[in-house]
Amino acid sequence: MAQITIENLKKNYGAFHAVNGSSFTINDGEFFVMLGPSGCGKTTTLRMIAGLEVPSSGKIMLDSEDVTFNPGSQRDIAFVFQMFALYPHMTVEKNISFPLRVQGFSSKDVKEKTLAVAKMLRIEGILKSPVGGLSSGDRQRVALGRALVRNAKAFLMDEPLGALDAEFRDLMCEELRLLHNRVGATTVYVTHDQVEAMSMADRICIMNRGDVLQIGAPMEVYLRPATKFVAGFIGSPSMNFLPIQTGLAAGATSATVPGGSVAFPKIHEALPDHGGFVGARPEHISLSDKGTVRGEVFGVEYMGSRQLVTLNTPSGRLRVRADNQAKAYVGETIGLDFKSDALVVFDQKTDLALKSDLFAGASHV
Amino acid sequence: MSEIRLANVSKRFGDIEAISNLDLTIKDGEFVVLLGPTGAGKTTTLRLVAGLESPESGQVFMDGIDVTKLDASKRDVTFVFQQYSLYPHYTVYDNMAFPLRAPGRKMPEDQIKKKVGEIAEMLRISEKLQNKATQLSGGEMQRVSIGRALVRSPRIFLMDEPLSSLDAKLREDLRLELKRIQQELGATVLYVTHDQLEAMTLADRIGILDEGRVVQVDTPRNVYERPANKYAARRLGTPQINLVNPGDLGLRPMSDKAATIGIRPEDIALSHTIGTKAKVLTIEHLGVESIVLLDVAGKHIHGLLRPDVSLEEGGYICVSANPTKMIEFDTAGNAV
Repeated sequence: MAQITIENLKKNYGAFHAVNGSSFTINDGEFFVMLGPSGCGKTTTLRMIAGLEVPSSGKIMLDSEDVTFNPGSQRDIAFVFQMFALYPHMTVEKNISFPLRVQGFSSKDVKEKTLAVAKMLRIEGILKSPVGGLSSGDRQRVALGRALVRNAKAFLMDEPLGALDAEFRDLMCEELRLLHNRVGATTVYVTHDQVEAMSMADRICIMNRGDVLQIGAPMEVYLRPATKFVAGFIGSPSMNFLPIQTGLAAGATSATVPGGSVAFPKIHEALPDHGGFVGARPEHISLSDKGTVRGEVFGVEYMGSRQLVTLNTPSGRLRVRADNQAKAYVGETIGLDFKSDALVVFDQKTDLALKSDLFAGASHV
Repeated sequence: MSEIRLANVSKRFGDIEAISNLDLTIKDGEFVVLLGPTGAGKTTTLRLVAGLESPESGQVFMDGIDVTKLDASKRDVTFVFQQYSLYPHYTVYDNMAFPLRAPGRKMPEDQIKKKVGEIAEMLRISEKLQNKATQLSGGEMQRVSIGRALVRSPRIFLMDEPLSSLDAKLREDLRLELKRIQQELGATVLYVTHDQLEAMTLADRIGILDEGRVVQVDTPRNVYERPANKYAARRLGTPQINLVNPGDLGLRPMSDKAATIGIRPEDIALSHTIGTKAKVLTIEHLGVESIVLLDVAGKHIHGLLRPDVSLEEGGYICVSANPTKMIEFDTAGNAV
């Protein structure tokens, strides 16, 4: 297994900057997820690590070896694609063992290694089956098996669960994480799905428009987002943003928003006159008559263990997570109470989160 | 709008029984969602209502009138598909007006304008009415395609996963819009999806489909809290309900017929002192809460963890369950 170090990596396609100079280190044994919308540069970064794209500039290190210009075949990295690229005319066993046979392992070794991987993935019962008739889950397991059997230095996965339906994806997320806990392989995983990223990653790297915006543990990026984009991208339903239409001095602990005022952790830097936003996650707002900001209930959505209440307020449409017994009716006006110690203030122009007591001791990229 | 009833309907495709003895009533003004995985018979049911398929047996009624043999074009239903199919060279306005200008319908142009304007307003695409369909984002295109359906006032709207091609954020917004518009119009809707969140949030009643059979039709809350069988229990809730043996986690069934006990992850309590000792296999941090997969005496159990409780993968924790929340199932899997 290996550590992967990226130094000032750039990729341009003509005038288009796909990756704008990323630098980060993926630790040995880490499950590292690259997350962002399509076109953010995550897949291009992954393909450069794999050796499928040549960087315009910058460096890629695999442990202490500079592999920037090595072809993919010389990097000892296994790649799992979104579309399970299996050989349809071969059995499960032949598909999994294919990389070993290409490398010229003895047939005894091939058999042992294939069986070990199949057991790990719980597909030892279908080794002799052709892949043609398999369920999508089993096909995905076979594709994983073919990557795992190589014992590569790192696994690179490009939206491997993208083709599965939601229920099954949850299951596979858990399975992949369990597998990772057992094997401990350095894994770089690309997805646009924040739930996948949150549920599996040791650390998430969030990209947008070629830039790395933040790298951190799931709860770190969730609770202390570095930018408004990150805050909005992570979490479902999204964070609420209430506009602040004035500047604020460093040391401020509250701001006026349309319809009332909201308190937040003491900010350590000033908010310029162009203003910004207070960010509040749906679970950081509660329905309460104490609240100064009030809104009319627009929708109440029952979700089993919880309810989502959407309100139209002078500060815009806000979503509140309520417990499943909470009473709220469409059309009624309710006050909102904010969990002040969890709120984040963003600069409207730079999109950056202002340093505050919330971030004390936390690291930004 | 009207009441639609499927009575004992069956439909085969070759050897496959797609729909078996299906009974379902969609009341006037009701939003019914059929939930089930691929192949459960959801789309076939829609097509049977539309008249695009005819059943081997059983009847389809609209407002008490048997329409089983009636041609699709005479049934007065409107279909919304997953993939928007707009006329690319038309403006948004002309796309939405299209069904109203169809021969045989011939609505006067000033009425068309009023109707399209109203629906565009509801869907918040009023400013886009003069744009060409090709100048729209994916979300806007899907709004237009839903809008084109909503300008009509058919007996029933049939919707086949209309939101599934949209990204997550847009889906959240449109879900709420769609529900509100349906209520404003008093529209009767039969909607199919495999997304349980859509089903729970949109439906007045959910119909749970399992291999062509309806296993339960009830309000989202009733299906969640009082599922008819194990299958229905597993269709709602993320992560899925835990199914354990009587006696596990200290759960003693009330009924002697109980063969399995269901307990939802939010009804599992984790502490350092009370309950059965369990190993923590994985922790998925979803922000507002974390999903914990536990090994309790060799059995996998899901629990929810608040972010303020600290726990590590590979560590140990004590697990107990809230006995008032258990759901008992007999050997056939039906709720006792």
